[in-house]
Order: sequence, then structure tokens, then C-alpha cells
Amino acid sequence: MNAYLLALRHTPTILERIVDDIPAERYGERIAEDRFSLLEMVCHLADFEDVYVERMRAALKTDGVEVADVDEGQRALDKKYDCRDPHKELEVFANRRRDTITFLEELTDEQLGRSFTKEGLGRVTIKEYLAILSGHDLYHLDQATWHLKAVHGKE
Amino acid sequence: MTPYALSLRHTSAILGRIVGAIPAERHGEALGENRFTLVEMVAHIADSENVYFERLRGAVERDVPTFDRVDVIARAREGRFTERDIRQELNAFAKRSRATVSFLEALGPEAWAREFVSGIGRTSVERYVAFVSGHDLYHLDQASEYLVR
Repeated sequence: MNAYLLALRHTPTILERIVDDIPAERYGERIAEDRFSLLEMVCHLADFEDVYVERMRAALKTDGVEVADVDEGQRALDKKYDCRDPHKELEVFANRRRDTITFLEELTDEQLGRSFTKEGLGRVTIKEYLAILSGHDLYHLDQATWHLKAVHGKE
Repeated sequence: MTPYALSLRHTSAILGRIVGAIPAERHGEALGENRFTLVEMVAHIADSENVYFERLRGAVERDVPTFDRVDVIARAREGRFTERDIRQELNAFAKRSRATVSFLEALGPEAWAREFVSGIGRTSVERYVAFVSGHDLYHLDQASEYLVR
């Protein structure tokens, strides 16, 4: 089993506990003007889990395939992230992540070495993409804990 | 640059903010019989960072070195982790983690493939960093459990 799966399986639970510790009236707040609100960020993680898996499935099917870039900000507007229910989105994220891990657990080393190409990222193997996804999870957990700090006032 | 160090960049800041949300009187509380208390866990993760760094550097500098298994329970007892100051341990972890990430970010592709032997068997620098990331998340999960119990 790829060791990054050990990390990826914990993210939904950690995120849910952090969100539950923050009063609902603060879910629309942003830590910076150019960042998602807490609610939008949860929706983004749930929504993009499918995007990430599709890229890896495409690489499995056709090694080196070019995949489309997705404008995260535009997708948030189009899909009305700001009107969604955060707890429903947390559930969606947890379910999709379980599916992602099930899919990844079955891949062989040879399959983990297959790649896709994306604008701005270049050619990336599935194995490298797992490291990127793990980093992406932690980037957003970092964001979530800024909201936690805003509530509790300590670090 | 390889993406393998990305997952280690944020752990110490995340852990610091979660701990900041937990009342100090709970820092000595264990959430299970065989679990570290919060202060022991923070001291453990700070201590482990030194172990990880030495192994990673050893693998880069020497040919397939072997490292002894670490008894984390004995190390916690001998190092009196229960008596540690949680803020100092968080600061130590942050400093050590930054050093590990700086070291890893300077490595070329051939260095990521270098191997060593430890308690988890023969592994490469790249695979070990993934293991470290899993260990980090395991303990972030543990820390976040205090938010709901």
C-alpha cells in the first residue's frame, strides 16, 4: 500500500472536528480576501475529490493523457458553494475520500507510475499526485485551523 | 522540484492551532488507555522529528544505513514527556520540521530514491516521507479528538 494513503484517510475526520468547533455563524468568514470562506473550502474539498480521481483514472487508461485545468474560483461560483450545507458537504467529502482510498489501494506499483499532463503542473505520475493531494489536504487543514484560532484566540 | 515534501510543511502550524483551542487543564488527559496524553503526544512528535531527520540524512549521506527500532514508550518515559512544557515542545517541533522540509526540498531525484533500513524495513527517502506524513496525520487526528470529547 502506498504510504500516502495513511495520511489521506484522516483528513475528513480532522476537518469535521475543526468545523464542528467553529460557530455556524462564522462559516462564511475568510482568513484573507483571496481565500475561500470556511464553507466554500469544505465544498471545494468535497467537489474536487471527484476531479482528482478522474485525473488518476484517465492516467490509468491512457498513460500521459492531457487533462483539463479547472478554475477553482469559477467552479465555486457556478456551483454556488456559498449556499451549501457544510455538514452535508463534509459527509460527501468523507464518502468520496473512502472511495478514493479504495480505488488507490488496488493500484500496483506499475499503475502508480502512470501519469497525466496538466497545464501548470506538467507531467505527473499518480504516485507524485498522491503527495500533491496530501499537501493540498494539509494546506486546507491549515486554513481551517486559522478559523479555529479566530474563535479561540490562541495558537 | 519533487512534490514529496509538500505534505510536511503545514503539520506543526495545524497542531499548534488545534492545541491552542484545547484548555490547558486537558493537556495531561489521555483519550484511551494506551494513548499518549496531549502533552506526551506533542513531545513525541517533536522528538520523532529528530529521529526522522537523522534517518533521512543518513540515507542520503551513506549507503543503505541501518537504524535501530525506536521504543517510543520507553523514550517518552525516559524523556519525561509528561512533565514537558507543551508550548516549548510545539516550538521545537516547528523548528525541527522546518529543518526537515528545507533539507528535503534541496534533494535531487536520485537522493529521493536512496534507501535505508529501519523498524519498518528497507525503504526509500520518498517512501519514508510518505510514512512520516501518515504519522503526522495520525497525531493530528488524535489532537482533533480533544475538540469533540
